[in-house]
Amino acid sequence: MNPFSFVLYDIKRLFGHGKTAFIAMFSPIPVVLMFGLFMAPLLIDKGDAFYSVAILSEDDNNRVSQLMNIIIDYEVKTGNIAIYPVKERETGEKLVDDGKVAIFIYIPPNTYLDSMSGKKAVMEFYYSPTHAFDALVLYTGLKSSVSVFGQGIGVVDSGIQIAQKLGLSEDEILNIWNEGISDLLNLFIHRGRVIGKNGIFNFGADYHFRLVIAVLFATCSYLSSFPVIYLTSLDLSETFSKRSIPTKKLFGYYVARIISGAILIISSFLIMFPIARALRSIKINFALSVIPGIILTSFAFSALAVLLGSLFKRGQSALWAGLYFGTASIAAVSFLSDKADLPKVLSFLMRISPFRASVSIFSNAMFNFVAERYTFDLFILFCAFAIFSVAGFIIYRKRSAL
Amino acid sequence: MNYFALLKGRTRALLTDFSSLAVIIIAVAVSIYISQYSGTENAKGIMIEVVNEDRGTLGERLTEILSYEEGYEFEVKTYDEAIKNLAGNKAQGIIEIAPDFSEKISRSEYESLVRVTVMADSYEMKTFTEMVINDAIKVWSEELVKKRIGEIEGATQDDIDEFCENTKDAWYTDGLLDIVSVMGKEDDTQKEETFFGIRWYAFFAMFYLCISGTWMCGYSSTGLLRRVTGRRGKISLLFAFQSLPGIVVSLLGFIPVLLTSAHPHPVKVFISFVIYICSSAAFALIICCISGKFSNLVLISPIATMVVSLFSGLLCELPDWAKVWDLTSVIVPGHWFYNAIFDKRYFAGAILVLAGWFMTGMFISWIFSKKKRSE
Repeated sequence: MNPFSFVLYDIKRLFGHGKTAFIAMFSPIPVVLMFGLFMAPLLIDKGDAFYSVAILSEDDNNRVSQLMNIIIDYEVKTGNIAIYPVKERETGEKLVDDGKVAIFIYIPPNTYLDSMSGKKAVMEFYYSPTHAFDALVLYTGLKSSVSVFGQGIGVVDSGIQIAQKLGLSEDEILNIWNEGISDLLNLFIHRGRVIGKNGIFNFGADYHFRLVIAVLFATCSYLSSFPVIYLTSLDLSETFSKRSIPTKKLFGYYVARIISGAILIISSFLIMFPIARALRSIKINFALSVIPGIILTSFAFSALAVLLGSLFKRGQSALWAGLYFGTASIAAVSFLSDKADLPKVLSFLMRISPFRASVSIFSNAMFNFVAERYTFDLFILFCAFAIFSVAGFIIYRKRSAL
Repeated sequence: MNYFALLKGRTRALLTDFSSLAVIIIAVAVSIYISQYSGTENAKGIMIEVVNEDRGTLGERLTEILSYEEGYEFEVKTYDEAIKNLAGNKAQGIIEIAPDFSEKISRSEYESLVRVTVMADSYEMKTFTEMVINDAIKVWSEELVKKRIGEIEGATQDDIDEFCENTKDAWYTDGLLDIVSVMGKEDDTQKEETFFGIRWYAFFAMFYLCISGTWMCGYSSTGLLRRVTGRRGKISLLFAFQSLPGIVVSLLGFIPVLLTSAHPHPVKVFISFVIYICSSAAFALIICCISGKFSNLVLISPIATMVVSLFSGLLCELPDWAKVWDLTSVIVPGHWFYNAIFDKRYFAGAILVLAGWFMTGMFISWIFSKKKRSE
C-alpha cells in the first residue's frame, strides 16, 4: 500500500463513519449564518443609515449644535447616521420608545452659556433598549468627544485667566475666548485626520466583530476534529489492540489519520470561509493570506485530535476530554488573551496556545495583517503540530499491540 | 411497568457520570460569576506599546496624557521592541507618534500625527482609536492656547509656564460639558438589569440535557422503547421518568444562580424555568434521536443549543432589526423564559410550547424507533 492509498483509505473511513464527518463539516453553517444575521448592520459597509438619531436643541446659542454637527457631520454624509430634528422633547423620546429612531439627543437650554461660565452642562443621550448594543458604541465615542471639548473649555479658560492677569481689556479677552473656542471646534473638525482617517468614529474598526468571527472560525474547526478523536480512540481500543502491526505500517496509519483529519477540518473551513467573506466583504489579498493559517490550523488540530484519541481507551472519554479542552481554550482566548496582569505561567500558556494562535491568525490576516504577528502565529501552530504529532505517535505506538 | 425502577437506574447513572455532571457544575459557577460581576469589569490591563519618535517635546506630553487612561497599560518602547511584543502577543496595540508630531502641531497641521495598530485580541478595544485621537487633540488644544498667550503683548515664558502648571490636571477632571445616557422604555419595562447569569444558565442547562442524553440516543435503537411498549408501558411516561433526574439536577443548579441574581420575582422566574427545562428536555430528546450516537451528539449539541439560545435572545439581546426573529422565536422555549425574566406574559405561551415540543419529541422518537426496527 503506497502512502497515498493509506490516506485515501483513511479518508474513506473517516467520511464513511456514519454522518459524523458530514455533521462536523456542515455544523458551522448555522452558527456563522446566525452570527451574520445578528451582526447584519455592522457587516454592511454601505446602505441605509446605521444609526437613526432624533435631535432637539433648546439652546439658543448655536455653538453646541455646531459642535454636535461637527462631531456627526461626516457620519451623516457617509450615511452612517440619519438625523431627524424634532421640536419637542416628548416627541424625541416617543420616537425612541416607538422604535422609529434608535437615539434621541437632547441639548437643554443654556448648555453653551452654562459650560462657558464654569457651570457644568449635561446633554442627554436617550436610546432604545433594543438598540443598546450599537447605541452604546456611538455613545462612548460621542461622550469622549464631548468630554474632551468640555475639558478644552477649561483649558481655554486657564488661558483667559493669564490674559486677564496681563491686563487685557474685556473686548480683547472676549476676542481671545472666541478664538480659543473656534480653535477647539476646528480641532474637532479634523479629529479623524490625526490618524489619517476621515470622521470621528471608527466604524470600520470593529475589533470586537473581528475577534468574534475569528473565535467562531477556530471553534468550528476545532469541533470538526471530534470525529478524528473518536475514530482514533476506537481504532486503538479495538482494531490495533487485537492485531500486531509493524511500526512502519503503524506510522503510515498515523500519518494518514493526521492528513485525513486535516482534510476534514479544511473542508469545514471551505464551507465557513466563503460565508464569512461574503458577510464581511473581506479584501481578496487578506482572504488569500488566511489560507496558510487554515492549513496549519487544520494540521495542528488534527494532530491534537489524534493525540487526544490516543490518550483515552474509551471513545466517549476521549470526546469528553476534547470537549473540556476545547471549552477551556475558547474561554481563555475569549476572556483572558487581552489581560496583561495574568500569572506568568498562564500568560505563557496563552502565548503558546495553538487555539489563540489560530484565532489571532484569522482576525489578523482577514482584516489588517500585521506580518510579525502573522509569522509568530504560524510558528506557534507549526510547533504545536510538531509536538502533538511526536507525542501522539509515542502514545499511539504504545497503545497498539506490537 | 415499573417506571420508578427506570427513574432509579437513570438517577444512579446520571450521578455517577462525572463527565456530564461537570457541565452543570461549571454552568452554575459561570452563571453565578456572571450574575455577580457582569458589567463591573472594564478593559483592565490591555497592554499598549507607545513608540515616541517625535523630535520635539509634545510626543512626551502625549505619552503622559495617555498614561492616565484607565483600562490600559502603556509602555514606551522602540519600534523594534514594540513590534516584537505585538508579534509575541505580549501587547495588543502600538501607538506610533510621528517624528514631526511637534513640528506639525506648531504649524497647525493635522494630517497623520499618530499611527495606530490594533490587534483584534479584545472586545474592549471598540473605542481605543477615539481615545488616542482625543489625547492627541488634548496636546493640540494646549499648544493652541499657549500660542494665543504668546501672541499677547507683554506675555513672557513665565506666563506660559504658569498656564502649563494650571492646566496640568485639566484633562483628568470633569469637563464643563458632558452627555449622559438614558435607556428608553420598552413596553413599560425597565431593563436596567440584564440578568445574564440566569439567561446563560438556561443556555448551559439546555446543553447539559442534550449532552447528558446519551440514553436518548439509544432510546430508539437499543430496544428500550420496544421493551416498554411490549410490556404495555407508555412511551411518554418512559420519557418523563428517564428525563426527570436531569431536570431535577438542572433545577437544583438553578437555585443558587437565581438567588445570586437578585431578581425581584424569583418565584415567577423559577416556575418559568421549570416549564423551560421540561421543554428543553423534549428538545434534547429530538436532538439525541437525530444524533443517534455520542460522537454526533457532541457535535450537534453545542451548535443546536447555541443557535436556539441566540434565536430566543437568551445569549444576548435580539437587535431591533431582528423583529422577524423575535416573532418566529415564539416556538422556542427560551423566548418565553426570556419574557418571564423581564416580567412579560409567558405562562400560556410557555405551556403551549412545552406541549408542542413534547409531542414533536414523542413523534420523532417513534419515527426513529420504527426506522431502526425496519433496518
